[in-house]
Amino acid sequence: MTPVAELSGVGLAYGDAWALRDVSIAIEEGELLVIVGPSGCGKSTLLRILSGLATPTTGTVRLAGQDVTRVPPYARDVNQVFQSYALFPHLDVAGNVAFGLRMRGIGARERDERVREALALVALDGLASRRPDALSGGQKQRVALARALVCRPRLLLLDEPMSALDAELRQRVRGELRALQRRLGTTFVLVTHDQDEALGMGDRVAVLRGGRLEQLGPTREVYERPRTRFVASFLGAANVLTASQARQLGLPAERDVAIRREHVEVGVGPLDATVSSIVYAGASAEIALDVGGIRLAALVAGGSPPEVGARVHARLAPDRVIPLEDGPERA
Amino acid sequence: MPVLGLHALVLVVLPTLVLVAYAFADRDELGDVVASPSTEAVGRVLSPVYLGILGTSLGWAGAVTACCVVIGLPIAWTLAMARPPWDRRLLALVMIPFFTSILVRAYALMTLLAAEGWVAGALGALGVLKAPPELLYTPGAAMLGLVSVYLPMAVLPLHASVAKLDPALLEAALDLGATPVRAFVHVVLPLLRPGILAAVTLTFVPSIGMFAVVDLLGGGRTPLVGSVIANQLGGARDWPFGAALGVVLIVLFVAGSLGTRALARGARA
Repeated sequence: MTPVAELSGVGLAYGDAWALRDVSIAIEEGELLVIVGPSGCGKSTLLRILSGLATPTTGTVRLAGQDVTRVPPYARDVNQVFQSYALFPHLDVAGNVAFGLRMRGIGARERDERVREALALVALDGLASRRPDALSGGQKQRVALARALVCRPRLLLLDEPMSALDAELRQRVRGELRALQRRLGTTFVLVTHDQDEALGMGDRVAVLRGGRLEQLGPTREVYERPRTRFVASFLGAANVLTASQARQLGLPAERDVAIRREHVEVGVGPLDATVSSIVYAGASAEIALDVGGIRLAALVAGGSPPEVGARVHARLAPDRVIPLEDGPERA
Repeated sequence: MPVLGLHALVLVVLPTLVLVAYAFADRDELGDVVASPSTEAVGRVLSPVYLGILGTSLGWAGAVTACCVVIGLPIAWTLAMARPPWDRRLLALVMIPFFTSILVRAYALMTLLAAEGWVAGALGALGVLKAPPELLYTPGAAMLGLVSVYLPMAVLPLHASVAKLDPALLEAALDLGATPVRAFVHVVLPLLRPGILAAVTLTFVPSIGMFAVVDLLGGGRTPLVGSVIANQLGGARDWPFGAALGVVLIVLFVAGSLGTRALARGARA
């Protein structure tokens, strides 16, 4: 099946600086792809290239098989939820949602009908005549979502959609957004710098670093088998050990390895460790261990964590050790 | 605030009352103003000839305003989009004429447009025109003078408005299927409305009373209300009539500014 969107060898340079370099991703129909990376990794640039707001320096962009590399945004079947929502302040909620339909010359009757549907979809039925400045952050976000979805795009782009919401709301919206995506079956590409969002929402996740695609795959696979020390530590904050450190801890390693914090078992095991700090978080606790000068982070159930300074036994589950592909201390 | 109230009284209210008093005063045989009430001057303003001059003046001011906004908007846009240090340099280019005396600028334009001036010379050298063209002392020259004098007054409020425009809104419009032209009409123009209204007020109001630039560049061939008033208070020595014309203009301005304010409120509601 033809992918909804396909980037091949896409790069974008500002003068000598490459914001994005040689990125190839095929986005499958109906999936939620999360693009994650630290700020400045090129993830927003990638989104702009998909929407047409930026033209890549190298490579091609295809939508449903058609080369759209140089097609302007207004002629693409792609819509975006902007980071700051970018609601039109001079139009009310209904006017904002109707905007895309008006620009596409859809008649008043169908337009009203679809605006009503879209507002119902995001549970904003009663607010059609509100101005954006009279809305809460969460409401603005839903208007932006309705405004994009009402155009029935092949591809919906979401640029850090949760970043302007407070923590409590963020959690709820994450679930709602995921449920909405499943229900509509629309292909979503969501950009975030938040690893929890990436792990919690995506069918697949693409990790970007310094303008390059570091790893792309199903979320669980990327989490369980990170290929590089960057992916291992960025997603889920794994312990990264050099080959010699790993051997010191009794692991038969020939290259650098990663081990997840939840796979460092505290209580029994062959390793003698000192607890150097504890961050207690109710259901769990993160313990920093010192094993003969090597620092290890362990995530344990919050029941009765050891005291700081206590000497404990620890064990690394050998089958949970992830060999990494990149060399030691890559810059 | 009492202090503010006092100086508004002294500087604005009292002079206006004096103007109104003169408008309703009479003159003796020698033309001196005497303190006896008369509606003769106001009656003359409302005669067809002077209503015609008022109408022409409004039309001119309207045309000047339209030119200033249409020319000023791309200038303001360029200024707002310029990166440092060019933003300050370009802004200085707008501010220098703004701080230069209107008369100096009018004389500069006269030099350029004169029969032996640079523009005529350049057109002659290019072979566009054989005889030296008549550029100066034409309505066109007067219009050019007014537009060049009031252009900075339009650029500054437009610039403030453009600078506040969120580029993401323009991108959102493009993303939602608007071509650049439609994005301009449906998103940019409505958002610039306060700036455009300020630019209209700041160019329309002063340009309707301007006489020096019009007389210098237009050669006194274009009877506009500003020149007529200047004549009444000068050579013609008919102060009540000049005052009456002034009062009518003030009434028009107040009505106009109330109108634009209602429009601006409409933009915000």
